[in-house]
Amino acid sequence: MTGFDAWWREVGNVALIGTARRPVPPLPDLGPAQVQARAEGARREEALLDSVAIGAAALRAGRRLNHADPPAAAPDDRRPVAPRRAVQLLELVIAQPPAGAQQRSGLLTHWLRAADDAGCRVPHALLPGLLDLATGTRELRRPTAAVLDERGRWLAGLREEWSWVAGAVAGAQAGTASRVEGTAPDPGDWARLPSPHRLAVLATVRTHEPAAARELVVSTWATDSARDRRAHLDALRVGLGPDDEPLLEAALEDRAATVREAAAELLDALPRSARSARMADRLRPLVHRTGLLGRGLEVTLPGEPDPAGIRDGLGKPPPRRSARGWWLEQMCAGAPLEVWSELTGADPSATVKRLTDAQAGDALAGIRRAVRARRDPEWATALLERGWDPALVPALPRERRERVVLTRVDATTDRVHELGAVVGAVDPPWSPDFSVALLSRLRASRVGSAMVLATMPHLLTGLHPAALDPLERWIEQAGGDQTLTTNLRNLLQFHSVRRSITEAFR
Amino acid sequence: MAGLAPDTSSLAAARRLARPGPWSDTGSTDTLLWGKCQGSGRTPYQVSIDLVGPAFRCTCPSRKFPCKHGLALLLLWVDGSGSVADADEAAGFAQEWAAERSARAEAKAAGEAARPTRTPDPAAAAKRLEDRLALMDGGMDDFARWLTDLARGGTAAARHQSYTWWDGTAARLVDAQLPGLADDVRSVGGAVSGRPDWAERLLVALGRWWTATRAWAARESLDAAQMGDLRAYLGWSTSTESVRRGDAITDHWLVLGAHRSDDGRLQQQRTWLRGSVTAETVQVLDFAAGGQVLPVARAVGSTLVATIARYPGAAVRRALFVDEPAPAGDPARMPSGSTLEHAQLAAAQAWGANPWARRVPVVLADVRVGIDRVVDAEGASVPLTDDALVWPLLALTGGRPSRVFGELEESRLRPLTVVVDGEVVGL
Repeated sequence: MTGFDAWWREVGNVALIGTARRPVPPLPDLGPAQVQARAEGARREEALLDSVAIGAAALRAGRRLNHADPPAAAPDDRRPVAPRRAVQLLELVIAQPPAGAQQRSGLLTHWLRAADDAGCRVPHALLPGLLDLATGTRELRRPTAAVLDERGRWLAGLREEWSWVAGAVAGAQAGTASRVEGTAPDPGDWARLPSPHRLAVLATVRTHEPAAARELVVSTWATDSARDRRAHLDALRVGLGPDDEPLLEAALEDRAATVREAAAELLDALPRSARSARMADRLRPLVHRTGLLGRGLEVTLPGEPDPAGIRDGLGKPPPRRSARGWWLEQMCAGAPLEVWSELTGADPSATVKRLTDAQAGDALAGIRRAVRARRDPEWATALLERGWDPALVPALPRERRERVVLTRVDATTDRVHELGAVVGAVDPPWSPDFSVALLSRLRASRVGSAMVLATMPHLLTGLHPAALDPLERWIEQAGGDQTLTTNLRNLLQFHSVRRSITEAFR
Repeated sequence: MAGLAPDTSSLAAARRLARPGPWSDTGSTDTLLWGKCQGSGRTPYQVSIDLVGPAFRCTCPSRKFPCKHGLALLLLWVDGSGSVADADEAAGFAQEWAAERSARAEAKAAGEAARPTRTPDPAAAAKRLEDRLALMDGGMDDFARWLTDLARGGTAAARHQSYTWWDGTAARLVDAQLPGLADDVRSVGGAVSGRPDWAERLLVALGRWWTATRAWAARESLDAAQMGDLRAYLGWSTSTESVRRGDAITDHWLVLGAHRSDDGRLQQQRTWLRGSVTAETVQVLDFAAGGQVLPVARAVGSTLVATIARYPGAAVRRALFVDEPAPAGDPARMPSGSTLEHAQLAAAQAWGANPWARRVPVVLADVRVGIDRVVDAEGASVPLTDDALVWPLLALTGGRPSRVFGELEESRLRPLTVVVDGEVVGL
């Protein structure tokens, strides 16, 4: 401790308890500054204040700097920054979202995906703003993590609020690796990841390399918890194929009921599987043709299942269901649909029409599940003739899907609240024809304003750019309906920014 | 009526207040309307309305204009149920205000009429100055006495004083036309009760205040620059006209960086400029209070052709634009910067010349930014201020050596600008 430090400390002590109780220490030698105490002498409290003024000035002027190790620097980025025009659009979407704050996530997701597809990264200056937005909006996290690059990951690692990035990056990186380099993660690495990260990795690998994803699931199957096993089976729904049958067949004997159910449900989608054949064998004795011409159809309820049947999913029914009705539904959901043509000698349409007896409800529920799981267009058409079910629409080829939905829109105009589900049955992006046709129907309707509101989320994700010109004309002639004009304007804004983003990355 | 309200919430609040309950001493003449409204505080707010304008005044702290009290009084009066009685003579406070208003209006009209040939009355000006100096002398003597009392009793005892003790001292300083010093006393008084490092802070503040009283006592021996800095600290403002008359430098000014702050009462914008020929760094201050809006910030990294005038002062000079600056279009030439040690030396020199300067502008070369500090090439480090925009800074620099412009405040740095890949980026 230097003489100055000791003196300053004593000055501090005197100041604390007051000059009435303690004398003021004399000024130390302040070197070249040549500061002297007042010649005429001063009262004690003035001497203290003089000392405080001199000492504080000396401290401020002569403060010694601390030394510290430099902080660790971020590694070099691997990707090029997004093109200038794209960066401007990102700034716009973050700072003043066109089409309103609610649509920001949609536009951001589009930007982030486009950037990832183009192999670009986010400019450094926008990283904090983007990380904050993705922290608040969960669905932005994965696409954000994909385009952070080294700088973004380094930055996120410094702040507690952004710690989600580490997990999201694992999924995004595995996705990029399996898509770009064709390499799935090493099973050893996969086993060590925390559960949510493993799911993220699994989901991306499954879309590019279904077999590699299944091998990952198998590699840890024996040690995974029931919850993880169930979640991993669910992840296999994407890209499900005959190769997955052995794993699913084995899972029918799993310790956990939830895993057994998931396995049975996935096997429902595989009509060439052994389980499907067993279900067909159980179903055949229950279906009889009736009438002179054999054009009637009678289905009887099954009896108590044997242990093999229970293993295949003929177990305890859901609450408030008859057990035998449930077993019938399970058989119909599991058996190949061809078994019906074999038993009735008729096409799907005629078969569906003939199912009229007391058991028809349970049988049709099962058939509906089978059609949905296997995306069988012929049976879907047959079932849709009997009654509307948006869940069956995705089983149709796109052109037919859009036609069916347009017909349904025409029939639904008086029940606007149902319209969202109807239009939502066509997955985005929509074809140009469907987009234009749907828009002209909305415009022609007396309740167009309400219809636009009801279908807004789908119009935002689905509408094809070809519909933007008609949309602009509609806005010009929309007249005094403020809500309608605002909604249409937001829709137009959203899609033109979306289009600009796509073009900016070309 | 609704057209006068600044927004719908004020109008709604006014409607709730427009009943006789909270009002007292109301009255009206042909041109004036007044009343006292009991708010949340002990003293009722004095509300005066000039019905000709209409113009409003209220003693409440609301930043809305007119405030809900003014609107409510007008509603009450329009209602006409007799709760606002007619009077022959306005209440004292309303009359005073009306007199002030008309005096101001006259002065303004007279000023506008007489501007081209306006010659200030030297005798009256000298008298005003003499009065002000007498007032300030008294205030400074009083403050010096307060300081010696504090020194005698000790800061530990002062710490147990309530905030009203500090506030009372500050209020006396305001009365003595020393508002800058008053703000400093209030801010230190607020920090003393809550902060762990209060003893050191108060000690340093005592030194600063004592220096001010000594400098004021010896003001005959100060030169114009030293006096300018002291005046700025005490809050004795220098009129912009006299600044304009006194100084003018035309140069290409690089906008080094800018900082905005808002303490709820006052918004402040500080813009740092560096002349490319003069190599002098000055700050331009803009203020906005109430519903006012700050002028648009100058683009950091751009260069402006402008004539500026500096306020009198020795170091860390304040300046104003004499004319509207025009963009120069030169490429930004940020100074190359120095080590922390040199920056610290430069700051010490500035503080030696102007002990009142709160902050000193510095350009640092090759500093690495961490979460709470910067470290230069020699390993010297300075902590960042609490309000530093650390995340954008980290994102832009990635922990690599970068040139940073900022304000050195006591021993902390507030970074305002960073140079990345040759581009000057404001934070």
